[in-house]
Amino acid sequence: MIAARRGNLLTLALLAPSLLSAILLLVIPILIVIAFSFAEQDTYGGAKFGFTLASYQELFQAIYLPIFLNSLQLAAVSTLVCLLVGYPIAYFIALRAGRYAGLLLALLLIPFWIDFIVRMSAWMVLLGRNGTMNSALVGLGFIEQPVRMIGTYPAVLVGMLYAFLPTTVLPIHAALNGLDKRLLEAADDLGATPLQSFWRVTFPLSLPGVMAAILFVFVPAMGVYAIPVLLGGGKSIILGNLIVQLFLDFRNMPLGAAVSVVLLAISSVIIVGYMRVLRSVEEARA
Amino acid sequence: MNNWRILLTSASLLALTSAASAAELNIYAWSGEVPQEIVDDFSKETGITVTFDTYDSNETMMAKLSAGASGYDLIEPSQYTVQVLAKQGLLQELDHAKIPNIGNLGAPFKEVSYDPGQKWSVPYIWGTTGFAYNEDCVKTPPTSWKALWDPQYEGRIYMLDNMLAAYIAGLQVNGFDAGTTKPEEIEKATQSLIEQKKVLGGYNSTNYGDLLASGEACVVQGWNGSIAQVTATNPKVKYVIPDEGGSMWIDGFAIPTSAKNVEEAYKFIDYIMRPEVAAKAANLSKSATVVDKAKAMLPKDVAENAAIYPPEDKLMKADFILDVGDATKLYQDGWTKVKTAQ
Repeated sequence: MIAARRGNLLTLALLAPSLLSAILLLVIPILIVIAFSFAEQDTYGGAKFGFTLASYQELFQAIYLPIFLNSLQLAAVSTLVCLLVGYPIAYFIALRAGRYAGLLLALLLIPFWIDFIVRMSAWMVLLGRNGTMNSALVGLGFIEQPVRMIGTYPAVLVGMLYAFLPTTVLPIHAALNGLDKRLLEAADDLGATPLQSFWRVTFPLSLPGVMAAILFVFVPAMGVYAIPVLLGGGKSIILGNLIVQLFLDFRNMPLGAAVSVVLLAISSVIIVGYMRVLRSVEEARA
Repeated sequence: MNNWRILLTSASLLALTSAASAAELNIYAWSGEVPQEIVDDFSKETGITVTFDTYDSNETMMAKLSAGASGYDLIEPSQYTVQVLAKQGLLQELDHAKIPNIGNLGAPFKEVSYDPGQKWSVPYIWGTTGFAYNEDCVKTPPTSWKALWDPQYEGRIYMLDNMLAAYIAGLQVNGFDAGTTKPEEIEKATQSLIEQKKVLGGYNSTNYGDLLASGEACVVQGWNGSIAQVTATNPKVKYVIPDEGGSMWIDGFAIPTSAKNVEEAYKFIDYIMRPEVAAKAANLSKSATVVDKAKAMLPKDVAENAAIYPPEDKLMKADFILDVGDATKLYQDGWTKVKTAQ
C-alpha cells in the first residue's frame, strides 16, 4: 500500500516537469485563446473580456466560408502531392538504396537545419522570372520567354511539397523498413508479378506509415501561413492568413481567436476520427 | 580599514548594478525609415543601448501595442494611426520642454490637423503613396492608377498588402476620395479591387521594390521612400504620383503609455530633430525630411528628386488619410472580400 503510494508519487515527480511545461505552454495558452474568442470587440481594437458569441456568429457568415474551403482544399491537394512524391522516395530508400539508405535520409533532412523562411526565400529566387528555373528552361529550349511562376497555385504546391516532404517520407520509410523481405520472396515464388506483389503485399503493409504521413501533412497544412504569402503572392487567403489578418491588420482579437478555436476544433475532430479509422485498420489486420 | 573595504565593495557593487541597468531604448519603427547608421550614431553618442524592430503596416504595430505591454519605448505611427492610438489612450502626452529641437520643424509640420499642438507625436518624415514601374517592360510612362489594372501586365502587377493603401487606388481610380466613409463608394472600390485580382501577381508590402528592380513585376503600388531606395541603384525604376491624386502621409515619433525608458525616448526624438542628423536620415532612407534646415544639407539627387519632393501641384491634389472611425468595419469587410475572391 505504502509502496504503491510511493510509486505513484515517484511517477508524479518524474512526470512533473513535462506535465508542468505542457500546462504552461499548451493548455494555458489555448485557454487564453478560447477566452478571447468570447470577448467583446470595440472599433479601436480593444477586447473587453465577457461572454458573447458575436465573434462566432460573425465567423459563420458567407464571406468566411470560402476561406475554410480554400484551406481544406489546399491541405488535401498538398497531402496528395506529398504522398505521390514521398512514397517512391521512401520506397527507394527503404528497399532499394542498400547501404546508401542512411546517407539519403540524412540528405533529405539536412536542408531542414536552415530556417524555414530562408528556404522559402530561396524558392522565390529559384522560381523568379530571372531565376534558375526559368533560365534553365529557356536555355534548354523548352520555353522561349521566361514564364511567371511566383504568385501561382503550382508555386504554392511546390513550397508545400518541399516543406512537408520529410514528414511524408519518414513515417512511410519507417513502415517499409520493417517489412519482412521473406514475404516478398514468397509472393515471387507463388508467381506474383512485381506489380502484384507491390499492390498486395508491400503497399498494405506500408499503410500505417501512409496513414501517419497523411495526418502529419494534412493537419499542419491547414494552418500554413508563409508559403501562400511568399510563393503565392498572398492572393488566395487561407485560415493561417485569415488569423494573421484578423489579429494584426484588423486588430480584431476576438474574431481571430474564434477562427483559431474553430481551426483547432476541426483539426481535433480530424485527428480523433482518423485515429479511430487507423485503429480499426490495425485491428482488422491482427 | 574594514569600513573602507565595505565602502569600496558597495561602491563597486553599485557600479556593477548601474552597468547592468545601463540606459536602454526599444524602438519600433517603419522598416526602411530609420537607418541603422542613425541608430548606431545615437548609441555611440549617448551610450544608450538601442533595440530596434521594424514593421510594415501601422496596423501590425497597433495590434502589438493594444495587446498589452509591448516593451517598446518609441514608435513611429502615421498620421491616422496617431489619432487611433491617442483615442485608445495608448500614447503619452509629450513634454515639449524635453525636445528643444522641436523648433526645427518646418512650418507645415508645426501645425498638423491630426495632432494639433503636437500633443502626441513629432513628425519625422513625410512621403506619398503612388506607384512605380520598370522601364524595361512599361514603354509608355503611365500617369494613372489604371496602370495597376492594365491586362497587358497580367501577373506582373503588385499591390501593397495593406488595406488602406489598396483602397487609395481602389477609391481614386473610381474618382472618389481616399479615406471616404460612404458605404457605396467603399463598395464600388471593393468591386474594382476584386476585378483587379485577375491581373495581379500578388500583394506585397515588404520587397516590392526588389520585385520591380528584378523585372518580376512591371508595375507596383508603393511608398515613395522604398521606391527611391531602389531607383538609386536601378534608374529604370520610376516613381509616379497618379493623376487621380495618390496620398500624402506623415510618419512621426510617439511614446506609448507602456514605455519604460521615457527619458531615452525623448533623447532620441530630440537627436533625430537635429538638422545634420535629420539630413543624414533623410539621405539614407531617401525620404523627405520635416526639418527645413536639413533639406538644405541634402545632396542634389535627393533634394531635387521629384519622387521624394514632388512638385507643389501634385501635393495639393494628394489625399491625406485620417482616421475613418466606424467606417473601418466597412473597409475591413470589403478587404476580406477582396482577399477571398478567386
